[in-house]
Amino acid sequence: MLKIKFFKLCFKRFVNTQTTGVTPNVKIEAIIGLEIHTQLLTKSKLFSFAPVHSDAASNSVVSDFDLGVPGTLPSLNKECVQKSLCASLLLKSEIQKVCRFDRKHYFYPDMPFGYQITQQDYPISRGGSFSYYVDDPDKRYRTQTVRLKQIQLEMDSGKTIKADENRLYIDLNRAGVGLIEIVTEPDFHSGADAATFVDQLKMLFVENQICAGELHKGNMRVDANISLCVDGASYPRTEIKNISSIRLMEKAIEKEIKRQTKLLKEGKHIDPVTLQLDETGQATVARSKGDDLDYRFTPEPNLPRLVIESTWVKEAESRLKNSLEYERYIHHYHMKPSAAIELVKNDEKFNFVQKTLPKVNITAEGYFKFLKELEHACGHVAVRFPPNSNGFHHSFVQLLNAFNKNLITKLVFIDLVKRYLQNNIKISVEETIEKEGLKRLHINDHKFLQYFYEICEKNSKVVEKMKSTTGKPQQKAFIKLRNIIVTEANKRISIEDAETAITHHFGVKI
Amino acid sequence: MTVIKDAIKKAIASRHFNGLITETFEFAINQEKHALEKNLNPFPVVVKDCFAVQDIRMTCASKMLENFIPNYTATVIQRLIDHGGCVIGKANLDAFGMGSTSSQSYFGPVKGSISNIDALEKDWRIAGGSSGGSAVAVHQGFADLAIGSDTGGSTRNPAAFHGIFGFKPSYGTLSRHGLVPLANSFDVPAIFSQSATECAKYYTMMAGTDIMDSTSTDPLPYTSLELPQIRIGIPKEYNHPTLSADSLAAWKEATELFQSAGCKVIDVELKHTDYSIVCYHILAETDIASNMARFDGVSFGHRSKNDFKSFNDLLAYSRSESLNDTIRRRIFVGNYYNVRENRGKYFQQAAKVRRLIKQDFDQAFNEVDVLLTPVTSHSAPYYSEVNAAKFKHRQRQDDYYTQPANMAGLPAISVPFSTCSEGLPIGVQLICNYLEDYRLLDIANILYKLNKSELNR
Repeated sequence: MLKIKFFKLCFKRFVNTQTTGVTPNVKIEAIIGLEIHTQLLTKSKLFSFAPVHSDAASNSVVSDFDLGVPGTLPSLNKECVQKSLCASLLLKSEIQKVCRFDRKHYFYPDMPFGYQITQQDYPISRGGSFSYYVDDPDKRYRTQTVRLKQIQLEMDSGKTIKADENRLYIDLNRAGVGLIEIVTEPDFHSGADAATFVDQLKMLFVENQICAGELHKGNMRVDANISLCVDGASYPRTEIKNISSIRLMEKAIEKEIKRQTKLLKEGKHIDPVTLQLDETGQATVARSKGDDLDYRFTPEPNLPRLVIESTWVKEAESRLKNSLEYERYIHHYHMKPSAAIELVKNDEKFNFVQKTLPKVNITAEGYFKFLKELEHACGHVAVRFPPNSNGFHHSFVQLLNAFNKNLITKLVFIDLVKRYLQNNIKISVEETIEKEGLKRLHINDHKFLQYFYEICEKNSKVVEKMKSTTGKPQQKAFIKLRNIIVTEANKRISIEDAETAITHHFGVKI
Repeated sequence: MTVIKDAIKKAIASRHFNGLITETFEFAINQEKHALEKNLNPFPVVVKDCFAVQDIRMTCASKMLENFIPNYTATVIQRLIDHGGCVIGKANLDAFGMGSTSSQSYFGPVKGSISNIDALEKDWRIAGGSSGGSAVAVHQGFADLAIGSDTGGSTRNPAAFHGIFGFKPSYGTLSRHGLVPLANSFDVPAIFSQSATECAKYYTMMAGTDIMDSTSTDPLPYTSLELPQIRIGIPKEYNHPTLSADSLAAWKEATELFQSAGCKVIDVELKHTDYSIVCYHILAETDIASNMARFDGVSFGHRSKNDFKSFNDLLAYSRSESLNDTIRRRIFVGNYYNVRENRGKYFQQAAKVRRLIKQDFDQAFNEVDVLLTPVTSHSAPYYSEVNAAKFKHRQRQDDYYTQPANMAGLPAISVPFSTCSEGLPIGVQLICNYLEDYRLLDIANILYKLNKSELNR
């Protein structure tokens, strides 16, 4: 009797999850959209004359207007408009002929007006897209394109710092700084995509002087909207607000996708929720569905409609830098995107590469292998990598070119690198090769054989050992002979040539 | 006895009307000294206490800003000071400009200076509003010029009650930098004076674009019109049931004066006038809810001393304690009109009807040069009357005549004309087309002179 009841119970449970849960083979897709708040790099704020200064002492760059002093009115900063137009052009977003400012109402300690001045109904530009590079195992790279909804110009709020349970500190330095909010369509499907996008968008803006691009200073902050889609059916979404680290964003998005997927698979409800991310990446609930804020949007009456003049657009066009350095390294030097971006972010290394790579006659791939060698060499001689003396740049280029022309072997190359690093040689590479007789003795050179026979005769014992043994002892002898050849020849014979010669003459392979 | 010392003496003698919240006599004397040093003619000015004057308390007649001291001066006031203006004091008003009686002040009501002084303790004639204190200053002679504001009639109304000129300029021609906003697209700084020519003189000192106000603009230069060429428009919608016999009579007499002078008098239609007051309330309440949001007690203004456990508590206590019923009611209503469910139903519709109202005026000004209308339904009522349940009604009635000019941004002026059967002043209103402020002032002067010579006969 009990057994039957037990089985019935199990069966019931099983049936329930089957009907409300998700069947195992169905495709669950993560749908992610981003809102990126970008602080504009201007001297003063969007609507007041207070300077924009991220390192100022708290509450020291706050004008009466920013504080909300009664009777003060907004005065639009033209340079903010200009930079927004640049951003619109770069993101192929359609600049509107007329745009307008609105008031978005909510009470918060760092919002002195009780509303934010933004552009809700008539933003400065609509639509647009941004293509970003992603590593591809087959083709080295591919581009992914994300569509944009709109770009709107708005003011930033101040900062609220929680002192303790009962106290908040308010710093209004940031209140009123000009922002553009870039709203994407929900075209992302992973945290990695979102992270790559934001990273490259940031680089585009920094290069074009639209934004200072220091996320840890709050120059760019991201809100992410994450929901799941199963066979076309969408589920409620989570909003993660105020993310100011690309790395933490990627992690937080992935974590949220996992959380929602688990709920879905267990047949549970996904409730729409808003989360805040702290500096360590911990997400806490900011508010749930019941506290849905109603912003009571109304037009900002103190600012007339903004008609965008064609002269401003032309000015914006003239300022654009459409292609970035790392793109050149992807296309011209055939680097994979993540490597190219990593390179340009390392200022010193990039500076060294810029000064040397264009002047050498080898492939980029080859060059970067040698750059690694250089790094090792620097370590051996305790010189800082990358070396920043102009003299060394020239020497390095000469050395690479000499190697490329087969004038020196790799071992001589490394030796010379170390000596030039330590500034032990004051003359050019060619002169050094000439003076010290370092020219490579190539296997096809008639002098090579001469050398080879001489050295083999001198070291007949090793040769005998090699000829008369097999297996490991033979290999050992081979290597010993090879090394003797190279050393005796003052490293003018390359290791490969030595090995080839031994194999050719004695029939022994390594 | 200097001009300013004389003004101060008169201000002291008028204290029982409670026209000033803050007396700035020392300040005025200092300014007089500086003006004389610069060879300017000093003149006494009273400023409504919703305009910022640096280092002088600006209360907006509210507990919320009881001790607020701005560190800047409103543009129009600075321009007056630069021309010799000496600020005698900050005038009393309805708190934050909300009201048309000047009775809703944290510092006690303004008593109209047309009142019978003997019975002043028990009852008095209201000063009109919201710029009641400014009207009293000019009426009592301790200001040659008083600055008020006009959002729905706040200057023209008290001017009519006191038998002085109340000039509402074209929207934007006087900078609003330093004027605490009530309804941003209606508000203008406005002028009280004893003559139209003085209004024009002071207007010129202050008018014109200001970099601190993005909605500011210049008035059109003055072009005169010969008297018989002036075409007078009489909008029939202003013949409203609330109009008293005395007001109606004044309106008729003014019309006849122009007719006798040879002017063409034309009936015009402003067919959306009836909707104007409703639109005004939707749009004004919306702005009020928004503009008052900054009074949160965080960095300035009244902060509750109550124990508060959250930011919301701080906000709620501070605002509830210091904002009066009228203000709170209007904030609630303004929020209601703009909640998400109501998007598109109220504000947008009112804004569209506003355009229709403006178009009515545009059409009328194709046929006429100036409109002649009543300005209030009757002369100043007693405080005891308005305090009764019906008072909201009366407020709305009076707004009917004045706020359409604010809806359309037009220049309008209240001209003192006659008296009612009880001997209290009755005015009439002139309205001209947008930016034709100087023409309006000219015509106002002409009407006043015609009336005077008629009265002298």
